[in-house]
Amino acid sequence: MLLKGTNSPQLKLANGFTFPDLYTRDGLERLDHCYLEYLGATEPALRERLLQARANADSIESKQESALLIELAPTLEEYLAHLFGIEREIQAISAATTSLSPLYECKRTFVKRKVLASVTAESAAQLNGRELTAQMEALLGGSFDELAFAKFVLKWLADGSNAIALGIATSYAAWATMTSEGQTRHASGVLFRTHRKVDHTNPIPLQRVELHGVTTAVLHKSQWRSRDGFSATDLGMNLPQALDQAHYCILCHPQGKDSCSRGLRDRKTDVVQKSSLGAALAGCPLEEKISEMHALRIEGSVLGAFAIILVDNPMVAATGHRICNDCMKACIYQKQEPVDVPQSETSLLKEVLSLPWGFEIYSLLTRWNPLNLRRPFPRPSSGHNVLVVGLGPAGFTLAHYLLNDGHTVVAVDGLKIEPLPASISGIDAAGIRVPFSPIFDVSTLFEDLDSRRVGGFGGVAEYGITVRWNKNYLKLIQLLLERRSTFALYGGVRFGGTLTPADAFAIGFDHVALATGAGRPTHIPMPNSLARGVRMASDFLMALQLTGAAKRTSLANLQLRLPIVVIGGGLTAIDAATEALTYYVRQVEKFLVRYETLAAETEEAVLRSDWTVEDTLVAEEFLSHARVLRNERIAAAEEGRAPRFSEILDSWGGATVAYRKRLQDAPSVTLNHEEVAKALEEGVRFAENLTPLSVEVDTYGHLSAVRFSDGDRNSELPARALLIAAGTQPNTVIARELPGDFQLSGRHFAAVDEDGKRVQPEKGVAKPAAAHVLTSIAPDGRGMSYFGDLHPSYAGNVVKAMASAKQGHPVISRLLARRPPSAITAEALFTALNTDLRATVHAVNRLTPDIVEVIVKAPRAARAFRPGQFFRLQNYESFASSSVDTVLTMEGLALTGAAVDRERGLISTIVLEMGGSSDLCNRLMPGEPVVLMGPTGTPTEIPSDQTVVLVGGGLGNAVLFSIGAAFREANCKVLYFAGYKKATDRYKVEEIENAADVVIWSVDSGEPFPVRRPQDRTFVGNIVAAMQAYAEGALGPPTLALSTAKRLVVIGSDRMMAAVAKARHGALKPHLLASHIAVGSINSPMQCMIKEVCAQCLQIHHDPETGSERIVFSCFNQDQLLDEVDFHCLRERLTQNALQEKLTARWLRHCEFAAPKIPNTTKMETSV
Amino acid sequence: MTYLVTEACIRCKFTDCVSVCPVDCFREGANMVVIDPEQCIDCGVCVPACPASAIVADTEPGAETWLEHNKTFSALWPTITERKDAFPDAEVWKKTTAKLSFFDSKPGRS
Repeated sequence: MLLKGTNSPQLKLANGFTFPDLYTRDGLERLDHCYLEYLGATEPALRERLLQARANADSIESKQESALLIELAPTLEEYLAHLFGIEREIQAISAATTSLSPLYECKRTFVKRKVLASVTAESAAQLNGRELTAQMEALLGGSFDELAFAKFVLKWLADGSNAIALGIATSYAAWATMTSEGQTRHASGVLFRTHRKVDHTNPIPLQRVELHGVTTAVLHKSQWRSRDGFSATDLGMNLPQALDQAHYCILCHPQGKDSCSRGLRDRKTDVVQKSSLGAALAGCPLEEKISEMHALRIEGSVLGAFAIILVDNPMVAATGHRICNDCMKACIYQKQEPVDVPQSETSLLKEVLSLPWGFEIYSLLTRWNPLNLRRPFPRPSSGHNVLVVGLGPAGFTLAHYLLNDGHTVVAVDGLKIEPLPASISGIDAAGIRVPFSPIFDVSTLFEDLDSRRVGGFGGVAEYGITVRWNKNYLKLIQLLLERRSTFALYGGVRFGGTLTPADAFAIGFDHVALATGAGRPTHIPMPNSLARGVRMASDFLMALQLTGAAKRTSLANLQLRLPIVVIGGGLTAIDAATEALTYYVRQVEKFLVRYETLAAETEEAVLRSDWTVEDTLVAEEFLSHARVLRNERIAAAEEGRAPRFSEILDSWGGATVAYRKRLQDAPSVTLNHEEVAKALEEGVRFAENLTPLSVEVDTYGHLSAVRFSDGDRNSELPARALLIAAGTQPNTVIARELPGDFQLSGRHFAAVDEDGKRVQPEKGVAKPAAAHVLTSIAPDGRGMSYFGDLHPSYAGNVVKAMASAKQGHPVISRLLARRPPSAITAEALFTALNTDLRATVHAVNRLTPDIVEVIVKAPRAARAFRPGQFFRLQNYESFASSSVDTVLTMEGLALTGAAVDRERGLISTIVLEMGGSSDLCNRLMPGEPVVLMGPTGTPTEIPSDQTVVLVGGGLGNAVLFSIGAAFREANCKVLYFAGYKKATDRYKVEEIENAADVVIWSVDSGEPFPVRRPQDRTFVGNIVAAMQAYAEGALGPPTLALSTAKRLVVIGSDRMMAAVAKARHGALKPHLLASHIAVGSINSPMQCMIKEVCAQCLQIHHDPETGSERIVFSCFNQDQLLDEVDFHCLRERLTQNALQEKLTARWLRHCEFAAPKIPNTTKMETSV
Repeated sequence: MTYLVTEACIRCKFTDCVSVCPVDCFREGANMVVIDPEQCIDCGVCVPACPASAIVADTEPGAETWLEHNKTFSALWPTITERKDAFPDAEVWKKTTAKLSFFDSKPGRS
């Protein structure tokens, strides 16, 4: 479980405060008074200045504000230390900071000013490090560290009479600073680490290597870093290193030169300058008080420094090291290495969190922060309700600001969000508020990223960011929000599906804020563009990190072969390349372990019995690679080193990022070359100037190479995995679903000002003169707004998305101030939504030996459902059982709504157990919380007053119950061909009869089905033959003529739909109207199902007239014209993970066999 | 973009600027210091440090001549990285405005 520590101490707050006081507005107001009294008692003049500044917060000059806050910060630290009873720990940090200060003093006055000024690199190269070390040891009385060195040198300098000792120290320092031997000795130190000049035109020094006729840029192998698995790859700086950055900072704020915060501006024109690679140097989008933070940090005021950052960035856990670098790019040091502000900030966060009750202090400061002159504690309740759509960086930051503005906030997200333990979050899985305990030691919440439960909170920060960043911080942000009593979040709820804008306003929301991020990935049209082996990077990253394929214990299938080629030049391309390489090791090792375990139980021939020739080929590749990797692992363990996988992976083809322009043009390089360098350290190659021409396939139809043109000539890179990261578009899909509700302007929502007039927001600035975040205002003042990657001003990165919330929330609050309070209270709203939006299992019924019905209670989803639509069903990892090192968490299953009971809020879904995740449905328990995201897809078109033919194959019949009933309600005559492989596959006979005027029961082999109604017929053979036989009168005179049908709806396996599609132009042609419309419900593989985000469901269509190709997203609209669907493409997409799926199915049987199976206690219900 | 030392430095040479400069861009002449415009990062931290208010931004009116002066002499004079005592009569000379005629182009002692 999450909570490891059980013996945590009791929190005893000073001054008569209780822990719950910190979560009420009244309590926070009293706390503020208490602090002001404390301040008044010790520094009355300062208290007066603070009160003055609060009263005139909008007119205070920024230098004056900085000066005041820096004076106040230490008093706040004292107050907090007393409040939480951690004076000793705070003093210890202050003392540690002071004790390290000789390092920085010595570095500045001695190393930089004396040594570097007096010793040349040439003469340093002549120095003998060993001798100098011995001489220094003699002087210092034994082995010494940098701090001891610094202290002695400073003493000698002060004494002024130690010329010989200083001479030796100078030589030693020259050796340590300027020779590679010395630098290696002091690699983790700070004293001799000086700051290099920056070569802006060549930020990453690379080698060029010829590969298959393509020149690729790589990092020399000596610089490669070994990586194994998905544990955090970069834990950041320690205290001396972080303080080194703080001391390196010039502290530019008194000069008004803190370009890290305000942007590097031309002194004459005030225009934001650009880097030599063309990136705007606008500084921190949140305008954090960075220089002020450093001023306090140097003084050892850790809480003061932290509080000053929180004024502008309360969600600081989601920024910093390996997330953002806008500050660093705009640092005043343009000619040499900038101050590593992100490292400095994250180190500060870690320092605060490591304090006793550290998280509680952080949490408190997000609600009460006296350094925030404008809103030191939350405003009184406004009585307004805001719906925030999307819980990525923009959404969660916006939720925070709106809560502090006094509004009730409900947030929904299409992804599954795992509940946190109610004992710390204050809210249980049913949405009921419970008392919660303070967290003494936040590290008890932290999990190894390699095995961590995938929380789902944080949107792209969860699935799009690699383990370079500590994703445990998302849990902290979720806690910051969930503990607020006026907040509730609902995962697995897609705005546009479960809820529409009309629903939201009808429920009692006064405002809807959209923060749905980036969507639709760009597809590159080229021959074989969706061949097996080709994936969109979004699909890959989501499958890896959200569905959980990265985990050793996961059942998620994600088949990936080497070599890997990634098309793109952004950070997504870079991340996809590193994660794919790392995943390859995990994948084949997992394959080998499971294969060997299974092989020990049964014969290998049995294991391989359902493998195709290609499966066998791939399996041998995986197994042999896994054995090589295992040998390396063993060798590394014996030699006491980390395994070196990069070179092995490289010898198997590795990963190449192919970009259409030069390296220095790639957005990843211009915006964040540090991340590119880190990726290259993992052995990734970068190939420039390559425009993709086509995907080449092998005899099995699998990707084998990618053809490129470099402008002059064509080349071919061998590839077994192609990941496409060619950019995304803002996720405005809802505007196409509900065109009346939204106005678009190009790729974005249209913007209006606060008077409702159309305006054009500034593009790509992050600090626009006006935050135009509104997209519509109704006459009654209710409105909608948009943030983050949706917004042209703020799109681009996490911290810009957060800036959109910071700058945009006042617009919402001003708009709401014009309206009377909502008619519905927060409590009533939450109660209604808890019932409506939280899905639980109602019953699980077995229908056939391999089909189960899962009935889910999900009232709003049930009401929103229309025939043809489907849902994404998932269990929660928090409630999933585990067995034999395998956690039984489902991949998202696309399930149709077979029937709904709107009054009882029940939805029946039918699941075919295919091995793997679908087999887990049987284990769901009544009352178990689940995710039932949807309805998604598009309702089937139901015309009236005509004859309609339904053709169902196996599981596909489940979809047709409700479609048939809807046609009949629309006064259509329904002729239904229900086909099955064998007699035992049939289920819900009555529902089918109810859905059709005439049913033709068809079974591939065996005895014919008995017929219960005079008009129905029965047949043995395949479904096409059944249709033909019926039309020709071979089953008796047709009771409803096939030839009268204007519409065919065909739902079954891809092969069945392809066969019907084809037969319509052959055997069935004489029996069908030439003008009939034939639609199939296309069962593309799907993952997100939140429409056009992950792009797993891409499907090729051909125009039957012209043959021209286009791409559709099946999860946007599953109903597709049979004559347009490329069934070969569908087949290939469906079999991408074939080998893994076969092994997973066996593995799951092994797990269930090995572990005691939970008895199936679900009670039978015949129907919904 | 750079800052520049003007004639107000002449015969004062307080050198407080030198101790605050993060990139050691000051060069020492016999009776004034100058800034190497190539090395200056435009942080402005030296401006308030100067007791004689001798340092100005290159965007100030009339700064062009001082840009030339700083460029020329920074190429000829040695680097100064540590503060040293000002001239004994620096406080007196601080009050004098037009001092260019007293300029000494010889390098400093560093």
